[in-house]
Amino acid sequence: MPRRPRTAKKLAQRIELSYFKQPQPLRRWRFILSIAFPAVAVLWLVVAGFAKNRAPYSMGPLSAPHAFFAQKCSACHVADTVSFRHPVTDQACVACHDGPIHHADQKFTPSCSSCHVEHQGRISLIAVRNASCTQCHSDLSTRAGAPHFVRTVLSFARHPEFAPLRDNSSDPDSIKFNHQVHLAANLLGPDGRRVNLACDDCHRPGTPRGSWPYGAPGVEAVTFSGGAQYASPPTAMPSSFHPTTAMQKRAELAYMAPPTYANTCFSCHALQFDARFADAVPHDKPEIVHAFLAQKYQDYIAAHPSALHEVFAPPRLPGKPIPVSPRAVTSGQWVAEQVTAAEDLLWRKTCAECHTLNFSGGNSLPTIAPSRITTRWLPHAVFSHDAHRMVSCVSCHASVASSQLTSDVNLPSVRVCQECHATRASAAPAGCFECHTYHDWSQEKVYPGKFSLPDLLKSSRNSVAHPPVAAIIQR
Amino acid sequence: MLLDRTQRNWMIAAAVLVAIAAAIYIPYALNSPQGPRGGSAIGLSFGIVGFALMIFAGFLGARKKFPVWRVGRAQTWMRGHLWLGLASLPIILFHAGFHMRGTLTLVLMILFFIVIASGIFGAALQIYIPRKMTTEVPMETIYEQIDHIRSQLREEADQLATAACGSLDGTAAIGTAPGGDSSASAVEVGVEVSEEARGQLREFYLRRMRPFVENPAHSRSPLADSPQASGIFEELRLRLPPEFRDTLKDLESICEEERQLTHQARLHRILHAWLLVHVPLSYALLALAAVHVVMALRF
Amino acid sequence: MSPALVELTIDGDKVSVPEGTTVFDAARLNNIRIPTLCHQQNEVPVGVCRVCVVDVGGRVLTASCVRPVENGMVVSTTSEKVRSARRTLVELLMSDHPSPCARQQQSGDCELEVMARAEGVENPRFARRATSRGRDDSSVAIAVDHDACILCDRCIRGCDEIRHNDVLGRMGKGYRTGIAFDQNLPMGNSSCVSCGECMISCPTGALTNKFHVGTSLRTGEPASPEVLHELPVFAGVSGTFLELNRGAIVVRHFRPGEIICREGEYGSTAFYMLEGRAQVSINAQMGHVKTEGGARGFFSKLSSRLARGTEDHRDEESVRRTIPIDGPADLPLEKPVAELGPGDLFGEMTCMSFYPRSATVRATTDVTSLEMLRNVLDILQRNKNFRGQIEENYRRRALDSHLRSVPVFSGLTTSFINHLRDKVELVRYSPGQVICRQGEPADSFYLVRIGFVKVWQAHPGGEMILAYLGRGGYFGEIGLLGGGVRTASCTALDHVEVVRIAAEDFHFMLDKFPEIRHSLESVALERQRENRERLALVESTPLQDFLAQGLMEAQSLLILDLERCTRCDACVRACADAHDGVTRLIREGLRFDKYLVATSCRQCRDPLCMVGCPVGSIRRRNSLEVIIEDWCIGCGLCAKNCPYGNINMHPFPVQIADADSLGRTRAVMKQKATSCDLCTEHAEPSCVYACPHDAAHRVDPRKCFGALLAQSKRD
Repeated sequence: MPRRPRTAKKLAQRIELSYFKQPQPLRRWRFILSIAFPAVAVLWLVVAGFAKNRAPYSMGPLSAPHAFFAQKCSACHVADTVSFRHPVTDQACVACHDGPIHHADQKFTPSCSSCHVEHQGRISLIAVRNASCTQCHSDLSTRAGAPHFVRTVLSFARHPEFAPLRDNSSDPDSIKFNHQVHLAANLLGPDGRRVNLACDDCHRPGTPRGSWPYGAPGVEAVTFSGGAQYASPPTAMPSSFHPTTAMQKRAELAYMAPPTYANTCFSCHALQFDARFADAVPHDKPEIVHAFLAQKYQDYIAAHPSALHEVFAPPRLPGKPIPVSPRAVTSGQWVAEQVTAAEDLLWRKTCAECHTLNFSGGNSLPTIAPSRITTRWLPHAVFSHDAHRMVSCVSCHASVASSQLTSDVNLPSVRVCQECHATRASAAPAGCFECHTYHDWSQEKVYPGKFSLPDLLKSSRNSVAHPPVAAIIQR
Repeated sequence: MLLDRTQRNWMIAAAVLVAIAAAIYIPYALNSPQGPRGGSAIGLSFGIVGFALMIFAGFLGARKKFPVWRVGRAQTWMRGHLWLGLASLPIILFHAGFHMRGTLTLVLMILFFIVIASGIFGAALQIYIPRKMTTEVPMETIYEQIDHIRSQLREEADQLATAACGSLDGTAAIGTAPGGDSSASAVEVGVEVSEEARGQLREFYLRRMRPFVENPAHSRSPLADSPQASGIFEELRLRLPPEFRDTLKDLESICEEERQLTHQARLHRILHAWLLVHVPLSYALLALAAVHVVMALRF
Repeated sequence: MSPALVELTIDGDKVSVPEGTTVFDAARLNNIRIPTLCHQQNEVPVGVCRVCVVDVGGRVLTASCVRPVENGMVVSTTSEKVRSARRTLVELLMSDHPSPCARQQQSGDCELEVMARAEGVENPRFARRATSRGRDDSSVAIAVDHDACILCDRCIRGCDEIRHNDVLGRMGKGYRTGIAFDQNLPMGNSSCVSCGECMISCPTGALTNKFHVGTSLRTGEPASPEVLHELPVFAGVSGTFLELNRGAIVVRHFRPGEIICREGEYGSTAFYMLEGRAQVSINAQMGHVKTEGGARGFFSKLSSRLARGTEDHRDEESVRRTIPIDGPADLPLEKPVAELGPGDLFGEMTCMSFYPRSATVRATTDVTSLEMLRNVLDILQRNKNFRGQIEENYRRRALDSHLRSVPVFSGLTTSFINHLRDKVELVRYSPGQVICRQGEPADSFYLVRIGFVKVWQAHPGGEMILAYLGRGGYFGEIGLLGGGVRTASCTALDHVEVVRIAAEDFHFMLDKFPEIRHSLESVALERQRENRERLALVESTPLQDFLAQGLMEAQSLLILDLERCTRCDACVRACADAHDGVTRLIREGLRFDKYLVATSCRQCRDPLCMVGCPVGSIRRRNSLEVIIEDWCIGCGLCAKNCPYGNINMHPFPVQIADADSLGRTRAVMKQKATSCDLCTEHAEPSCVYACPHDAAHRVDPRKCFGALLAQSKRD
C-alpha cells in the first residue's frame, strides 16, 4: 500500500506560487545570448565601419577591371544630394567609359547596370544575359515604325538564318570566280606545275604569317587590318577569354583578308599581253594599263625601230604568198596600234576572264566595276576566324566545294554554328553577346582620364578631391 | 505541439504562398535582363515579403511577453510562426536568386539557414519529447521547482529514517521523529525492533541513500540506476525486519522520484536547449537583416 | 387566624410547629439535623432519595421531608433502624457513583460522597452497574455526567419551580431512568438557557460547571455579577452562573483611535458595546481596475485595451450592495464603513464558531465594552432580554438590506418592507440541526442572520450540495406561496440564527400588495425548472466513476494535454498577467489518462471553500464559477477547506489609512485568497488563449471524459 499519498493538494502545495518569476537558467541564458549575438553582429559591422572597410556591404566581388576601387563605393553608387538612395546611375559608368546607344530609333535605353551586372565576381561584365537583349528583341519595334530586322529572336538556338543566306541574297562580288574549278584536283598551276589549291592559299586572315604561295613575289602581307576595325575592342573575344594585348592582336585575325590579284591570282593568272614581252601588265586600272602598254611599246620601238616595218602576217593559205607591203607607220602610230591590239586582247579576253568591263560612255577605255569583295558578311555580328582556327575551312564552308558562281553566298548557315554553339553545358557559348554588340562603337567618345590614383583608391565616401561626376561628363 | 489536423489550414496556406511565389519566380528568373537578383523589382518584392514574414516570426517572442493581450490566440501565432517562417525560406531564396554573394548577405543566408534548421529541429523535438516525458516520468513536476522539491524530499527521507531508526546521529529517543509532523507520514516503529536492525537501516541511509538524495543529479550511487536500486532495496527488505517494510517502501519511492526528476530535468533541457540557438540567432538575423535592408536600398 | 399548632416528639424533644409542617422542617426548626439528598429548602420536597427517612412508629420508615406532622407523633431520627437504613441507602447509591465524581474533584463537596464518608461507606459492597448512562457535554456551560446522577430531581425542580424554564424532566424506566432535557435532547441543543440553576441544585457531580481553557480573559477587568446585573440586558441571567464564570466576561476600555479587533484575526470572544462609538470597516478593499496616471497609466490603459475583455458584470448580477459581516449591520459595498454604538454586539460568529474576525473595529470615542467568551455569550443569547435587544438591532439595521437583497423582494416598497419587518421571527439552530426538509410542506421563508447553512438535495448517488449560505443568504421562497413542497433540505452547519417569515403572514401581505405575487410565482417556477434539470443531469451520470479524484465533483476542469504541452509556462504567465501578477493555476497535480489535471478551481458542485467565509466574499456566480470578491480579508479558511489546493493565499499591497498621520494612506501587504475565476470577462480563459500548442483546455469533465469512461467500462 503506497504510504506516500499523492493528492492533488499535497502536490500543489509543494510548489512555490511565484516560481515562474524567479530567475531560471535556461531563460536567463536565452536572454543573455539574445543580447550578445545581435550585439556581436552589430559590433562586427561597427568595427568594419570604423576601419572604413566597406567589404561587408558589398554584394559580391567586383569584376577584374573594377576590383581595384572596390572600397570606393561612391565611384559607382552615386550619392544623390537629397535622396536616401545611392543608385548606380549611368553617369557613374560614363565617368570612365562611353557606351553609345544601340540604335537611334530604339524604343528605350536600358540603364548600364541593367545589363552589366557587377558584384558577381571575376566574370566578364560584357557577358550579358540573353534576357538583356530579348527585352527588346523578343518583339522588336522601333520608334520609327517597323523594324528592319527579324522581329523575334529569343536565343541562339532559334536564331533566324543569316541575312545573306535569306531572301535569295547573292554575293555582290563582281569578280567572276568559280570555286569548284579552283578546288578541283590537279589544276594547272604556275610554271606548268599541277597544283591542288587549299583554302588558305587564297584566303588568309588579317596579317598573314608567311608569304602567299601564289602571290606575286615580294608581296608580303597586305596591310589589312583584318576585322580589327570592325571588331569591337577586345570584347569580340568569347566570354571565356580574358582580353590581353596579345589577344588584341588576334582581333586582327578575325576576318579573312579579301583575296587580291597580287596575293592569290598572280602566279597562275599572268597578265601577258604580247609574246614579245615576258612581263605582265600591271593589275591596275585601265588607264594605268594603257599607260603601261604605251610606255612599253614606246620603249620597245625605241629599242627596236625595225619593228616599225614588221608586219604581222596573218596566217594564210599555203601556196599563196601575200604581198607584204612595207608599212610606213610612225612610232607613235605603231605604238598606238600595238597598244590597241594588246588592249584588245586584254579587254576582251584576259581581263574579262574575271572582271566585267563596261565600254559605255564612248570612252575607249572601259570601266571596271569595283570588285566589292565582302570581307564581313555579317555586319551586325562579330566573328573571328582566328577563334575557329582549329576547324577546317570546308567543315563550315561546305557549300564552297560546289560553288560555281560568284553570286553564290558561301557563308555557312546558322545551323552550322548551332552545331557547336548551344546552351548546353558541354557546348560552345551561345550568348547573344558572343557575336553581337549592343553599343554602337562607331559613335564612341573617348574620355581623357580625370581621376587621380588617391581618388580611386580612397574609400571615403565624400572625398573632397573627387570631382563631381557631372563635371566629368561635361566635356 | 503535434502535427495534426489543426495544422492543416496553415500548411495549405503556406504551400499556396510558396507555389505562387515559385510561379512568379520562375519566369522572372528566366527572363530578367540581369538575372534574378535582390535589387530588381520582383526581387525586392520577394525581399519585402520575406522580411515581413521574418519579422512576423520574430514577433512571436514579443507576443509571448504579453500573453493576455487579445491580439490573436497563441496557437494562431504559433502556427503562423511555424508555417510562414518555413515559407520564408523559399521566398528569401527567391529574393536572393539563389546567389550567396556578398559578405553581409552570405552571413545573413547562413544565419537564416541555421535559424530555420534549428526551428525545424525544435519543432520535431516538441512533437516527440512531450510524449516521451509523459510516458517516462509519471512523477513529473515543474522543472523550475525541482530543486525546491528535492529539498522537500530530502526532509521527508530524513524524517522517515529518523522515525524508523531513531536520530541519525544516534542520540534521540527511539521511535520519536524530532520535529516531525503528520505531513511526513513517518512510521513509528515500536520498541520491538532490535537496535541492530535500526543500526543497519541507519547505516544504509547515511551511507547510501543520504548522499544520493543530497545530489541525485550527479550521483554515481547505484541508487541512481533503477534496476540496481530495486536490487538494493530488495536485499534490505530481506535483511531487515518486517516492521521496516513500510519505511523501506517509502524510501524506495523517494529514490524512484529522485531518479524520475533527474530524467525529467534531462528531457526538459533537451526540449528547451535548442531555443538557445534559435532565438538569439534570430535576433542577430533580424538585426543584420535590418542593416541589409537599409544598405541594399541605399545602394 | 394563625395556623393551628401541632405538638410532636422528635428524638425525645417536644416540639410545637404549625400545621402542615413536614417532619423534616419540624426537626430543623428544633436544630435537629436530618441528612437529606433530594431535599432542598427552596424546592418542593418529593421524597425520592429516602435518605431522610425517620421512624415515626409506622410500619415502614417514612421520608421526613414530605411527611406532615401529626399531633402526638413520636419521631426517632437516630435509631439503629433508621441509621442502618440510611447507611444502606447511601451504600447503594455509592455503588453506582463514579467516585470521586467531578464535583468531588473540583470542590470536594459532593453531598453523596461527603455523606458516605460520614457514614463510613466509602467502599460499597455492591457491584457497579454494568452499563454507563453516559455523559452529555453538549452544553457550553454545564457538563452532564449521568453516571453520577442519583435521580434526586433537584435539578428538575430547580428548572421548573425556581427558574420556570421547564427544560428538565425524567425519562425512562428501571435502569434506564435518567434526567432529560426537553425530549431527551442533548443539553446544548435543548431549550436550556444555561442559567445554571440545575447545576447549583445538583448535590453530586452530575451537573457541574465546565471550565474552558482560557476561561478567564487576560486583558480587562473581570466584570462582577453585581455590575453586570445593573445592565438591563443582563436581567434574568443567573448570578450564580456569572459568578462561576467570573473572568469569562471582562470590561474593556478603549481610547479613541484604538483598534478593538482586526479583520482576519482569529479570536474567541464577542464584544458588547456599553458606551462610546466605534467604526467598523473593512480595510482590505481592492479596486477592480487599477489606473495609474502618466506614462505607466497610458501604457496600462493601452494594455488593458489590448487585453480587452467584456465589462465585468459581477456588480449588476448581485442585487446585494452590502458586505455581510459578523455584526449588527452590514457594510455598504462602495464604502465599507459603518458605526457601532451602545447596545451593539459584534463578533458572535468568531466567539461561537471560531471564525476569523470579519471586519476591523476601531474606537472613535472613548469606548467601554464587555468582552466575553463563548460560555457567557451562550447564556446571553438564551436570555430573553438580551435576545430581544439583538433582534431589535437586527431588524432595525440589517434586516431591511437583507430583505432587499432577495431578488423577489428587491422591488418592494418601503411600507411593505416595514410591514414584513415586524412579522419576522428569529430562530436559532444548533450545528447539524435540520431547518427544513426536502419534501416537507413549504410554509416559510428563511433569511440567514449569522452562521452557515447547507442547502442540499438527496440523490441516489449521494448528497448534492446546492449552496452554502451565510449571512444574508436566503432560501425557501417557494414556501411563501404556500402549497408547495421543499425541493431541498436545509441544515445548519454551525450555530445559526435565521429570520423566518411564515407563509400566513406573507399571504396577508400579498393581499395588500398583490403585484409581488407574480414575481414570486415566476421564481417558484424557475426553481422547479432548475430542480428538474438538475435531477435529470444527476441521474444520467455515473457519479461513482470519478470519485477517486473527485473529478466528478468538478463542473469545469483545466486539463493540460501532456503530449502537446512543452512545459513552457506560457499558461501560468498569462494567468498571472491577467490576475495582478499572481497565478491562479499551478501545473502540478494528478494525471488522468494523458492529461494533467492542473491545480485550478474546479467550480465544484459542492463548494467546500464557501463554508465559513466570515465576510461572504467567496460566492458562486451563474452556477458555475466561484469567485472571490475584493473585500476578502485573508483569513485563509477557504484555502484550508479546498481539498485540491486550488485556493492560495498571497500577499497584496493594499492602501490603508495611516494610523500615524491621519488622512494619508500607506501600503501594507495583506494576504488575500486567490482562485481561478474562469476569466469570464474574456471569451476564453487566458491560459487556454495563451497556450501556443493547444494543450490547455477547460472542459466539462463529464462531457470530456464521459466517452472515455463509457469506452473503458465496455472494455
